[in-house]
Amino acid sequence: MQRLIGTQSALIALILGLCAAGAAVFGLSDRVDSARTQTSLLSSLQLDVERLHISALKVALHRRATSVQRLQLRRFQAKSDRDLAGLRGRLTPRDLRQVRLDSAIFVRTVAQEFDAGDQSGTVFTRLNRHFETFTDKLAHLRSGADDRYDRANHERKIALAALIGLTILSLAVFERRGRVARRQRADALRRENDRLVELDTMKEEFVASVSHELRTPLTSIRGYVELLLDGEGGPTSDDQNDFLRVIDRNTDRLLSLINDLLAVTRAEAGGLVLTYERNDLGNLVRDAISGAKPAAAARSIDLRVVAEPLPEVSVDPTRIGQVLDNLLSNALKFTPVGGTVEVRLVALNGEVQLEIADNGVGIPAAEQARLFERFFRTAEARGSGIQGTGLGLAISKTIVEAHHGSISVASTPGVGTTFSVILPAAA
Amino acid sequence: MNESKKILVIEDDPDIRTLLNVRLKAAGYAAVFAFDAVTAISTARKENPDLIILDLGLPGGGGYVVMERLRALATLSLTPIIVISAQDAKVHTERAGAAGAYAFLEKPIDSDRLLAALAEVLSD
Repeated sequence: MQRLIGTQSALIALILGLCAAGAAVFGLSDRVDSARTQTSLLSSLQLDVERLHISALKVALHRRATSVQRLQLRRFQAKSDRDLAGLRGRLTPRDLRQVRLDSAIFVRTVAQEFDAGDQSGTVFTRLNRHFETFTDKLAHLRSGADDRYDRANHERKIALAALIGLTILSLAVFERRGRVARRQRADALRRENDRLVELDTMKEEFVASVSHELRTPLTSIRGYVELLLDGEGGPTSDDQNDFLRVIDRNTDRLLSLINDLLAVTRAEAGGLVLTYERNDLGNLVRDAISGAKPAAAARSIDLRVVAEPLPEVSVDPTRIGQVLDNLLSNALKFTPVGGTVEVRLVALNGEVQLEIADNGVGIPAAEQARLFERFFRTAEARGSGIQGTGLGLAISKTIVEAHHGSISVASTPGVGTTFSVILPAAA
Repeated sequence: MNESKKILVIEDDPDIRTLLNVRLKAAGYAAVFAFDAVTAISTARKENPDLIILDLGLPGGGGYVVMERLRALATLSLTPIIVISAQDAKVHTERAGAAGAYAFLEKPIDSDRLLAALAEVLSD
């Protein structure tokens, strides 16, 4: 909590600093801009004034000027125009007032000298000297304005540098905070991951140990039930035998639950070790079908295979056999007496597709999405008393995916269900 | 014909001992019992059985320790051993075989398979 407050204050300070630097830059920019606008305005005013005064001078000279004097005057005017154009600089109002005063005095002096009948050559010498003084003054004034401009500009540069520095600093601070946060997140994730791996191992050990503890009493239950059924405990009535078979059947059920639980836990903990062999999926399917034949026959279900020549697959035959047994057993369980279960094998491009299609009760769309979840059993399965642990499809999916394959279902209630398994062909 | 064959059952669960006793006697074998790792060795030396049924989870030392000790005894080094266990068959089938067991049967024991295995070993 304290650290949080600390970082918050640092953050606020940083933001305030950025604002101040930004304001300084904008303020100085304004000052620089206004200085520039002001001086350019003033210099144009000053030029106008100069022209006004020179015109007055011209008029004064014209009155008694000789042709040589007029030529000299034109040259002077051209020079003054050039120089003044070069002097478009930056003057304060006080500078301008000074210029105007000087010029006024000068014009009056020259006019008086003309009236006094002075030598025109002297007038021009004075005129030139005056103009040089005047341009020197303007140059000096401009350099002062330049200094002010440079100073403001310099300050602006410093403020800009400060702003950039602060921005970089804040970016660095944010970046560092980000890096620290990322590292902390990575550490947290790693710890979480370690904990999950540990939990997974614990879960696997727990399930293994529970399964061992459950199997031991089941050994006695099943063993003694069988003893009774075999008549080792003396003769039993038909009713007693029926009851004993119920116990036996439920022992089987518990046992398959334990086996499935162990299998799914091991598969989830990454303990599914596959022993790959190149194999024709058709052979594995035929093995599975011969195993399922008695169950199909018992319910008069037509169990058939439609196969085309297939490329070989690289699979663990035991595991894929488990998937086939699972899918076949499901198809037989949910197909009514006299129905059909068809196994189709199709070669796709670089893959082999296995379909197990039945014309059984079907699965509602809402339940299809959950079929591959552990312990999920459809309402039909639960309601009709069909045995199962709800783990078979979850295990099948894990096995198929471990083979880089996929498993899916398509079903229409009342029409039937098709499970598809796609496995990559062997390279 | 099995009358002469003596089987030592090393099993800590009394219910399973009784169960096996009934089964073995019914099949015509003579059964003797031990319930932990220590009595297993002394009973085996005293009885010199034709075959040993060994549970893996035993008090006083695991089934593998018992197997090792039995194998170290001159008179019992060649006595066939059938391992029975509720522990993970996937792990122990191989391990028991490597330790010199004739067969591994997962609990709950299928009595038909057990009797078939016994007949197979003892007919040799």
